[in-house]
Amino acid sequence: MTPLSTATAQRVLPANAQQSGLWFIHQTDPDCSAYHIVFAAEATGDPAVGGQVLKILDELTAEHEALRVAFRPGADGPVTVVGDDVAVDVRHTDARGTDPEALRDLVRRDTRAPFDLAEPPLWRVHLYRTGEDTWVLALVMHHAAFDFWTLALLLGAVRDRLGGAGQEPVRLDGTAFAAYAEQQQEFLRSERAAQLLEDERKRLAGAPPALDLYGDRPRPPAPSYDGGSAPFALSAEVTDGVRRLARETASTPYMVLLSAYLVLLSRLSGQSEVMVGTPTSGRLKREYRNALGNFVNTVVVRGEVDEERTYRELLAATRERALGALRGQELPFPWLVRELAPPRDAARTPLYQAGFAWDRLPFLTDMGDFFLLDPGSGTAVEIAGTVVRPFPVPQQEGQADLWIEMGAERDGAYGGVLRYSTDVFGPATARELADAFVTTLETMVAEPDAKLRDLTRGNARQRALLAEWGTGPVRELPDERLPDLFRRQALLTPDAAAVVADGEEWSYGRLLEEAERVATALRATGVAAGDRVAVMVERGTGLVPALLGVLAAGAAYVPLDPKLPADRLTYMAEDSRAALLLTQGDLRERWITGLPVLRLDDLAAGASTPVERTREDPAAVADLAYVLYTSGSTGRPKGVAIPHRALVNLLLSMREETGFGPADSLLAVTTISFDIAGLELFLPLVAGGRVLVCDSATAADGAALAVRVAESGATWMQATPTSWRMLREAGWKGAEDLNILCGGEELPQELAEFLVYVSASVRNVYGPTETTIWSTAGLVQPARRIDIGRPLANTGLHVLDEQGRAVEPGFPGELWIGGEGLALGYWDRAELTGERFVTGLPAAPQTRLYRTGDRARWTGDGLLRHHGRLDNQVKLRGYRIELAEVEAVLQAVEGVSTAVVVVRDERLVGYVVPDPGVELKVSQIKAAAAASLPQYMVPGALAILDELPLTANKKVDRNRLPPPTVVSDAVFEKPRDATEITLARMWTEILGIPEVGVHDNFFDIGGHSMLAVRLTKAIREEWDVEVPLSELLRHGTIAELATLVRRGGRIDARTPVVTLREGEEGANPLFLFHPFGGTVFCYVELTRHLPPGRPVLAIEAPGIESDGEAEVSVEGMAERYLEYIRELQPTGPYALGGWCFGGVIGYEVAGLLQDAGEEVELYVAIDSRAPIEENIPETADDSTLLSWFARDLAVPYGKTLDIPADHLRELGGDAAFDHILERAAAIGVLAEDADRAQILRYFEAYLANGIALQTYLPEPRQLDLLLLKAKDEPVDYGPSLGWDRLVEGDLRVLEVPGDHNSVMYPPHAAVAAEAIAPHLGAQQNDDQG
Amino acid sequence: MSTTVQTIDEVRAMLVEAIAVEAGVPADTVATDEPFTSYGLDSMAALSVGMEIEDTCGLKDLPVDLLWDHPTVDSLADALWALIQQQPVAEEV
Repeated sequence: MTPLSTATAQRVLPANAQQSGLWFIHQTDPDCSAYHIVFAAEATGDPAVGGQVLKILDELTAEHEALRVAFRPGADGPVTVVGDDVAVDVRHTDARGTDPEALRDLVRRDTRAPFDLAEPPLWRVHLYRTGEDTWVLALVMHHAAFDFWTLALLLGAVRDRLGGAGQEPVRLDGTAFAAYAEQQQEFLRSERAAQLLEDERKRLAGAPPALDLYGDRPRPPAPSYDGGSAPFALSAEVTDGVRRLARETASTPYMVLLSAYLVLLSRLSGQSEVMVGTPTSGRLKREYRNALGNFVNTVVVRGEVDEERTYRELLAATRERALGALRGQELPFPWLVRELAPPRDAARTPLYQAGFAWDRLPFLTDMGDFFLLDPGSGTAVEIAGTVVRPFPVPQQEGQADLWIEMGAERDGAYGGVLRYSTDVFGPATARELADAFVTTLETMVAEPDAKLRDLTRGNARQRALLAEWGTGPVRELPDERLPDLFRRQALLTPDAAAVVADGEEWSYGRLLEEAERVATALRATGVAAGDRVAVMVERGTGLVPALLGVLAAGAAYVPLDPKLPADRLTYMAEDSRAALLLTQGDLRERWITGLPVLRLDDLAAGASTPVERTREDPAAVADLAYVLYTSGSTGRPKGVAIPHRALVNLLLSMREETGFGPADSLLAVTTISFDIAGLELFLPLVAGGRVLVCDSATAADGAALAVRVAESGATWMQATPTSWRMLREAGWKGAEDLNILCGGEELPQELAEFLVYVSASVRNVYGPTETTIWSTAGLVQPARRIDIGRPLANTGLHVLDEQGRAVEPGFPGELWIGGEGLALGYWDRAELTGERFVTGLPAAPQTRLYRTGDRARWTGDGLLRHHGRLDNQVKLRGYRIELAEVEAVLQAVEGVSTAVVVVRDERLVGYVVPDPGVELKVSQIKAAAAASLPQYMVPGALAILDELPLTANKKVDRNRLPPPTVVSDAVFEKPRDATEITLARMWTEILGIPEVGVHDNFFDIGGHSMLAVRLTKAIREEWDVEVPLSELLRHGTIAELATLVRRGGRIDARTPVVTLREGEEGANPLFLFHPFGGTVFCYVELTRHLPPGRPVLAIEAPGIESDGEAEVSVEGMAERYLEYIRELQPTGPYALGGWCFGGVIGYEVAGLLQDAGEEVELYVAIDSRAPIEENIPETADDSTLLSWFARDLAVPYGKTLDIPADHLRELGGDAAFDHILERAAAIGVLAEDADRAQILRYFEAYLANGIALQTYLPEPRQLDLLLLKAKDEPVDYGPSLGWDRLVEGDLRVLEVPGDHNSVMYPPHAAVAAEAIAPHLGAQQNDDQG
Repeated sequence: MSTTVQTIDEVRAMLVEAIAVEAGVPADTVATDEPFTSYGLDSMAALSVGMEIEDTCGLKDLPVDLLWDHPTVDSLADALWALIQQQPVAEEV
């Protein structure tokens, strides 16, 4: 290879827009192999033919420029350079003895070795000698330079020259590519292109910003361009069906297939509208037919799927939409993206994330199935006596989330490949998706006139898999109820310990006795089968016999936690029409009015008043075990009526799942108002083990509970993730004999990993109250993503779509649960019961199923993933956001204990609880979140809380989260330091917009790849810092870039001159001196409004951001600053001045220039007070200056920060300074992570300026001064602020609106600029006099 | 403009021949009022037919959607004839 940099001769030509786009991708990821086009084949024959092939390739390379191109960065993207003397890159491998599988891997790996796009040739040949007369050849071409058509042309040409083809010889055109690029550039400037763009803009307006596929993996913030392939094949019948349907509808097979793909994508994303990229050959003109190069252009089809329509109807619509897309095919895609500037998410490709390619060539037709991943076994062609067979190599993987490529045929049937990004899918799921595509197509082609919603989904294999995965073990249930099971156990082991509480231990015998005493007393009061008994008992030994006693009496219990509010308890007792309240002592009975009361401590006394029984529907109460109230998302709590069979099924199934035995003990910590308490209190009792009842005070106190867990020696404990986290925060280090059940909320990965390492086992359990405690359980394994687990015994899981069809593996749907665990329904809510408990769904017509409201998805490996609540998904700016996903990321941030994310006022608000003793900074969490979440998923506001509000069931209570106090990023909109100011200036210039905020994303406000190249160039030139494009994609705001720049290079070697605006070449700048405090942010607004043309340069105090020591005299400053000025503008006329103290410095500088005989064209002072005795403040000690400093910090943000000097004096020193930082951060004028040292430097400069001002008493001078006086300033310094005492030349005073501070900020700065403008115009406007 | 066709009938005959080649059917089975898609033609075939048109009719820069807007031999022949005579083409709806 000849490195281009040293090549003797080379031609520089334009690159076309498609090439630029691919070049840009390569810049962001130089190792990317997603755009390698590969042809591989196995040849058997005379080895000499191999040598001939190489010789032919050499000749072709010498003949055709196109084969010698590479790219080099130009002014606006890449240019094509043509190497003069480029040798073919051939890589030989002796693979004799390599086994076929290893060879396949080797070829795959080799063909993925990255290209350096700057070095020709951008294609290469791998040759593997596999035997004496066999070898494998792989031709790899980079798509930036070539396309599939080129590859085929090249193969054809080689074939011709070998003399084996017998086809029409191919005449290659190796120079047309350059003409194409030129014509394209010209075309894109044309009227017609503008019209097409307008059409495209209309066609794509309001398109969904992203195709949100539910994937197996959390999406990384930037695509990795890694992928895999899943080949598939249609049957000959379906292929015929596709062709027939195309004919019948005057469309093409491509459109028929694309329609099926749209259905697949719509179902996979849950979106009706889906955008699909589809490549076109780009060789519209005759002269490009035989041209070598890359002409392919992608168009975006805006598809829409409505399940209420038929396939034929969908096809008709798709036909129009595909044609609509094709009409714009002359507009290169990267150019279109740039012009349309759609909202960008760096995690995804723009405009489309799924593609469909229909690759067919009008030549090389006998090699069509060489490009299939599983070609026919008999496929072979003979070339020059050599037999050539396909050697399929997966290629071009990872270009998009999903990609289907079709066009090739095998034995008259279409084959294809589904390519997927491994950022999103695993291979097993991708396999299922490919199958789903084939099946969907098959089903729809067979019944093109049926509504899509009425067609079945999936094939027989998939349905069998789903049944296998979704069906729990079938177990015969005993015809016994819980009290019977318990009695049997008690009779078996009467002396074994059953319940331990409050230091008391009851044996099974004792517990049975107590339970029966309760039952007897209940019966005596008149309670009978089917009655509800409200049970309100403290957590202790009495609780278990109370519940068992109710059940033994044939009644059902309604558990009441005494800790709940009175009106809620009253409501539950009344709504369930409880016959009696079973309680103890005087436990808050006073507010449950009218209900007969039976006291555990005085059972013999009987009920306080006679029991009145209500008449119920016998079916509703026959098998009723308990009624448990759960809060509905709206309205009042609803009772869930659980039958005995369901409870028994759960207990026996969990006994089997956990292996709980007589030696085990379970520490019960959950309130009885949460149904999972049933497992804790009863599971041990049906297994001969012990229940350790933990009192509620201990259960609610992490530290106390940690002690209890250790002391109790419990082998099992069940709790919500929130409770486990509470334990961890309290310093719990785990217990090696403890087995853990964790459920009731989404189990965060990091918590799962903690628990796994500190315990004997962890099971993630899942299930709504309506299906009795839990429906699934799964052992959590280290380093594997959490799934819901497997169904419990006699339980069926069904993931269904809106039509009630079972969705294929890999597809999202709603989880429905059937089986023995199902509740009887909602107590007394027939309508609600009818909505949520449904029999007759298409997927399971005979089965009663409960609708969970949870979104779930089977992965191809048979793991059931939970994708949040159907109602916990939000859409913001068109993006679908799963709050749980954002929460998981925040939780994973170092130092974060818990996180909750909600939507408030159309944006994400995150609430974060730090680990104990950890100080969290909002900015730090945000940065961490931004590192692993796409931009639109990063919460706009974050609040740090000491604790989260919890519901009684120890779940986070989202409704009681406080409004966030740290909310607005908008406060930080303006550039805050010299780096940010400079960056903002670059942006406005590059993007051609008047103003940018520091949190605006470059790509959101019109930036695109080529402008990004310019920006990185500008940054390099300014600071000698290399910001890779990939970083720019991820850190696309000025604030983030500034951080990168500060970290990256010679930033501290900067001079104190800040370019606020570059202006025109040769124009003399306006120099502005820093005001009091030394920084120059104040001039940003003014500069925006000054007439264009003149550069505006600001001089900041040395030492605060840049090199140099602070000066403590105005004379010293003037001398130094004059040096900077002279360096930039050696001779006059000079324009200079400043605001506040800057005007005073200007006086001294102007004087020095005058002394040197230079002309001062303009000396302007903006509300500067003349440095005369009378204007010097009397008491200006450090505290006073600090107080002013605080005030001035807030001014640019339009805020007030008045901290009395006296107060600061009291605090003194560092404390006073920290106080200011805190107050400033609280009102948002400093970033939370503002660098203390930096602010301290600001203050030191402020102090130094203070000293300088107090000691500067200059003589009058023969100078002209333009003085802008802030007319709303309340403090009176006289009509000319004292300047009449110094200025002996022309003193012009102009009054401008605003006070001393606001005069420099919007809206007043514009007026000030206007006042200055006429005095700057002379130089440019000589002709106007 | 160099064209080898003299009449609209020649244009039609050229199209019938091109369609027949692409579809792999005898020319006499191509009905001039049937949509091209009836012969299983796709965008790639359209490209080939388009090239044939460029060569035979001496036309350049054909609109990309020509074959879709004029989807039968008859209507396309009319459109091409109009182009050849440098007259504006009536859009078919």
